[in-house]
Amino acid sequence: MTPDRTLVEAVSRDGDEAAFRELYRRHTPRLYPLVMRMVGGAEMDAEDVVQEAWMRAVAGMKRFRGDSSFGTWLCAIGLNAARDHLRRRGRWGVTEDVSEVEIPVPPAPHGQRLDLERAIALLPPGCRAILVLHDIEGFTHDEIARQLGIAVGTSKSQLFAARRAARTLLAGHKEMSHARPE
Amino acid sequence: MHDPNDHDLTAAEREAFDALPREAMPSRVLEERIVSALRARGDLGTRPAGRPAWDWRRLPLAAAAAAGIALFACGLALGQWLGARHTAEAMLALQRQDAANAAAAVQRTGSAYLSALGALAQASASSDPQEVARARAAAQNVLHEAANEMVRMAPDDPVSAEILQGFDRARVQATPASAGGKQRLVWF
Repeated sequence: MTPDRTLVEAVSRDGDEAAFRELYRRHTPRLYPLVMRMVGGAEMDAEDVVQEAWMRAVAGMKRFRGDSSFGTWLCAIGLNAARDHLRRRGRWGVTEDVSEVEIPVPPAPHGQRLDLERAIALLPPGCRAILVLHDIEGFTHDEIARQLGIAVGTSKSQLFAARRAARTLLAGHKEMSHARPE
Repeated sequence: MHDPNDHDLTAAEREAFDALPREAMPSRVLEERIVSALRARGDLGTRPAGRPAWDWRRLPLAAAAAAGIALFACGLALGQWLGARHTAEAMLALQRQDAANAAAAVQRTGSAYLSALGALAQASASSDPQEVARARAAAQNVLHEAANEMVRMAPDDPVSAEILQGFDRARVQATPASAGGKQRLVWF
C-alpha cells in the first residue's frame, strides 16, 4: 500500500487525481461520522463540511510535515471546518457557565425510542462537540482545549453538562415511551 | 445513564458509546463533487489520472538508460569516423594502385612499341613497301600522340615539345610539295 506521505506529495506537487482519490477513500470513512456528529446529524451539512475539509486539506498539503498521521491532521481540519460551519449559522458556542446549557426537548416521533445517536444530535453544538471528541473519539481534555481553543476547565464542565443533558434526554424518552400505550 | 449527576460514564454508557460506528462512507456523489471542485480550482488534473508520480527511486534506472544511449551514440560516431578514415585510406590506396598500374602499362606498351618498331626496321628492306609505309605512319601517329600526352602531362618538358615541333616542321615541309600548284589559285 502506498504510504499517505507519498500520496500527499503526489497530490500537492503534481495534482495527481488518482493519488487524491486514494487518500479520499482511505480517510473519508473516518472523517465523515465525526463531522456528521459535530453538525448534529444533518447529512447535507456533513457533506458540505467534508468537502470544505478536503478543499482546505489539499490547499494546505504543502504544509503537511508529517508530525502527526495524515488522518489526525485531516480530522483536525474537519473539526475546524465543522466549527466554522456552525458559526456561520450562529449555532456555535462553548460557554464557561455550565448552567447556560439548555436541554432541549426533542421532538421524537410517537412511540419511537430515542437512541444515543439522536440524543447526541439534539445537544447544543458546543457541548456536543466536546462529548463527541471525548467520549466517542477518545480525545483528552488537553487535546480538546487545544483543538477548540478553549480552557481545559471549560472542556471538563461542558462535558459534564453534555453528559447530563444526554442522560436527561434518554431517560425522559424512556419514561415517555413507557408511559405511552402500545 | 442511571445517575444524572455522575461525572463518569457507567459501564453500560461506555458500551453504548463504544457501539457507535466510527466509520461511514458518504455517497459516491460527494467524491465526484469534491474532485470537480478541486479540478476547477486547479489543484487536480495537472497530470492525467492514473499516471504514476515521478519516483526518485527510478533515478538509477533513468541514469542507466541515459548512459546506454550515450554509449550507443559514442559507438555510432566512432564507427562512422573509423569507417570514413578507412574509406579515405582505401581511396588513396586505390589511386596509388591506379598510378602504379598506369606506369606499368606505359612500361609494357612502350616496350611493345619499341619491339614493334625494331621488327618493322628489320622487315622494311624485304617487305612490301606499302605495308612498311602504313606501319611507319602508324608508328609516327603513336609517337605524335605520345608526345602530345607527355606535353599535357609535363608542359615544360623540352624533349616532348621538340618532338611535336619536329612533327610540325615535317608537315609544313611536306605540304607545298604535295599541293604547290593549287595554292596559286585565288578564289573570289
